[in-house]
Amino acid sequence: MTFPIQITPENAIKEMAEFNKKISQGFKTLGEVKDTKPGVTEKEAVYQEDKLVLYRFKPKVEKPHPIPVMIVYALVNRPYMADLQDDRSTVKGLLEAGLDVYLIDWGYPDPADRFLTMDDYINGYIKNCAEEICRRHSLENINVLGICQGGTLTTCFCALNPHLVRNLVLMVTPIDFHTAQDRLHTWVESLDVELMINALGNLPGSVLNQTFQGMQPLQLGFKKYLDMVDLMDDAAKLENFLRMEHWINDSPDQPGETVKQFVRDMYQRNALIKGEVQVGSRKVDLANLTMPILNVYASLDHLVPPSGSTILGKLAKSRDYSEMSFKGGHIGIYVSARAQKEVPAGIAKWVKEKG
Amino acid sequence: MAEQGIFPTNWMETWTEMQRKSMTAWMDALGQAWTGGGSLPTGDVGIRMWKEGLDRWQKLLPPYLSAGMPGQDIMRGLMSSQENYIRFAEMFFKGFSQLREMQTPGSNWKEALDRTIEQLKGLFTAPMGSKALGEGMMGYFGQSMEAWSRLASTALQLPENPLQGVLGPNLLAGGKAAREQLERIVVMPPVGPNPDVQKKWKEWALLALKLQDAMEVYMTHVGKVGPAALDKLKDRLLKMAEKGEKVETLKDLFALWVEAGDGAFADMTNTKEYRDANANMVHALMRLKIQGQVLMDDYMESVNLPSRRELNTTHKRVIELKRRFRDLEGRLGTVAKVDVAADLNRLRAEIEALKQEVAELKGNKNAAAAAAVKKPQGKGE
Repeated sequence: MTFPIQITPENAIKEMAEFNKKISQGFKTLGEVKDTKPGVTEKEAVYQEDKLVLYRFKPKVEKPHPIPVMIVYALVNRPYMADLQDDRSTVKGLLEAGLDVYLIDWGYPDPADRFLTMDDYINGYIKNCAEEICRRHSLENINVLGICQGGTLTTCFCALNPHLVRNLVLMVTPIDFHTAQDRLHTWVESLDVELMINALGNLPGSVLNQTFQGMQPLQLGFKKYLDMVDLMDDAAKLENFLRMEHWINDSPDQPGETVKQFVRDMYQRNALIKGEVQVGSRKVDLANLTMPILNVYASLDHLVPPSGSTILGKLAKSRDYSEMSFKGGHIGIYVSARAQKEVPAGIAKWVKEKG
Repeated sequence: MAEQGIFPTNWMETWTEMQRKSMTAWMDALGQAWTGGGSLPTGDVGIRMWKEGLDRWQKLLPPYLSAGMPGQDIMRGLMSSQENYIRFAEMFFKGFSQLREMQTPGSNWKEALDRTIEQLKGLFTAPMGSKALGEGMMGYFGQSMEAWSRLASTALQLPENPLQGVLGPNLLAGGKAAREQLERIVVMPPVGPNPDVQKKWKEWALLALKLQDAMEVYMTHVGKVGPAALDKLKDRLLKMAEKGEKVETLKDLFALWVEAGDGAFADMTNTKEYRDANANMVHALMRLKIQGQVLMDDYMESVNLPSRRELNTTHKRVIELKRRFRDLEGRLGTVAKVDVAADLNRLRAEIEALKQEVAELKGNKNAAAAAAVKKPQGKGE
């Protein structure tokens, strides 16, 4: 057996020199970057409440499907991940497939929002948006698409207000928070979240970012920037990278009372699958989910393991439950080239079939 | 005027030039040592040179790395990953000073690898408050600690702080004299005209000491990650040797290191001891912040300005009012859903039916009366 490190000192020095040269050249490209503003598809604000804005995207077909889709994104990041850039946009894919798409933008909560609860989000904001869309289209119910944590909130909303939901689509949505592959729940099990919120008011986005980065600290903290150096001679690739970085670092603070209940009920007690989540005066019973459901998950998701999503099939009482598996990760499901071809088209086909 | 990019070119060029010079100087030193048979640069020379360039550049152009500037997060990430990579390269050059011998076929490289790994573990040891080469290389953990320390330091910046001299951000960096002085203050009974105020400040000081203790325990756990990562790296190299696999570039070796570091960190976070230490540190920080807020609120109220307490009460009331409004709106919606027109029509129909009934009854009554009238007549007939 020979020693596996076969790096020669001469080559190592050459490699460092090459790295240095790449950075020098790359910084010139970086200096030429003009705009990496995400959120590209044309839209108009149709409803506002506090910091929330409900947008309607401009349809891309003459006669879109008559039942609109309302996207409910997570609170922990900004929703433009679903519309990052022209060639990486779930929203654009849904529009091109003939759907009429609305999206809730939660805005950036500040200390005045500290006392907003899950009830305020679910039975207040989400319900008001759904009713607004129903009014605009003279409908009794609409299609709802929940993403990640937004999917969990959507699941609660649908279970509490099934009359407002025609069909439910979930993407990378955690339902069971205590699967063996989920590390987040073990990290927070010893934390006194009430004490944290009493001290901090809202949970700073930077703390959340550090937590997510902790899943792969060196990979996400350093290696990806070294890999970035290899992209720095290609302006288009660099812009893609920067747009994604912009999104990763754009983490709103989390309203204290909401995050307290979410961490306690979901991550610490795993109460959703037990029917023990209290929202307002009612408990969330997943058996109330009787509408058709499409559950889309990413088979390589390290944040929301597939089994944490697919348990919904056993708990919901829908007679029309189906799943779509995407071979990719938690973010790749929105932004990878393959996702653009498979995911929006698959969702739109299912929605149209359901009528 | 030309459109300005999100990364202004003037400072980019300045940085590029400085960075190029420092890297070139470092590589020259390394190159001479390796190829000319000279001794390797001692100390973290590369990092020092790199840092010197960075410091000069930052002094020239401080606004560009300040919070809120476009691209500043990315620049910070790029800078720290470069630092990390240079640290790694330096660790590699230091650790594998016998590289040529180890690569020679038939050498006892396994023994040399064991020795090297054990030596490298020493790079992860530094007293609290100073930075070991290895600690910097495991930068994320330092960053994570920095994030908490930032939260802590805001909890230590209070107006009219009578303990300013001994209880400031330096306490968390491990100032021994400051700590001893604080310990003496904390055990003294509150005396003088404002014992309640003193009591609050002392409570705050005590919590700061507890935070310092909790941070030390936490850092002890974090300090284990680097050596554990080295063990993982060694295991990985041994497995590669068994399979006849090779690493031929620094970048590939760095990738192995990243995998080993992330694996070691995951292992640590899965232990209850770490999770408890983490929770204790976070809780100690939160208690300190809460007590700091109490003192800050007292101060704000004393100068007749809104305090956090007051704002919380106001915000809570606004949201409660909104909930009541939502509830009332819901009830109104239920009322509005009643079809008044249909109800009216139904009531009208009922009235018509009743009228009909009454008319019929009246008709019957009249007929009966008429019959009664006719009867006597008939009787008379």
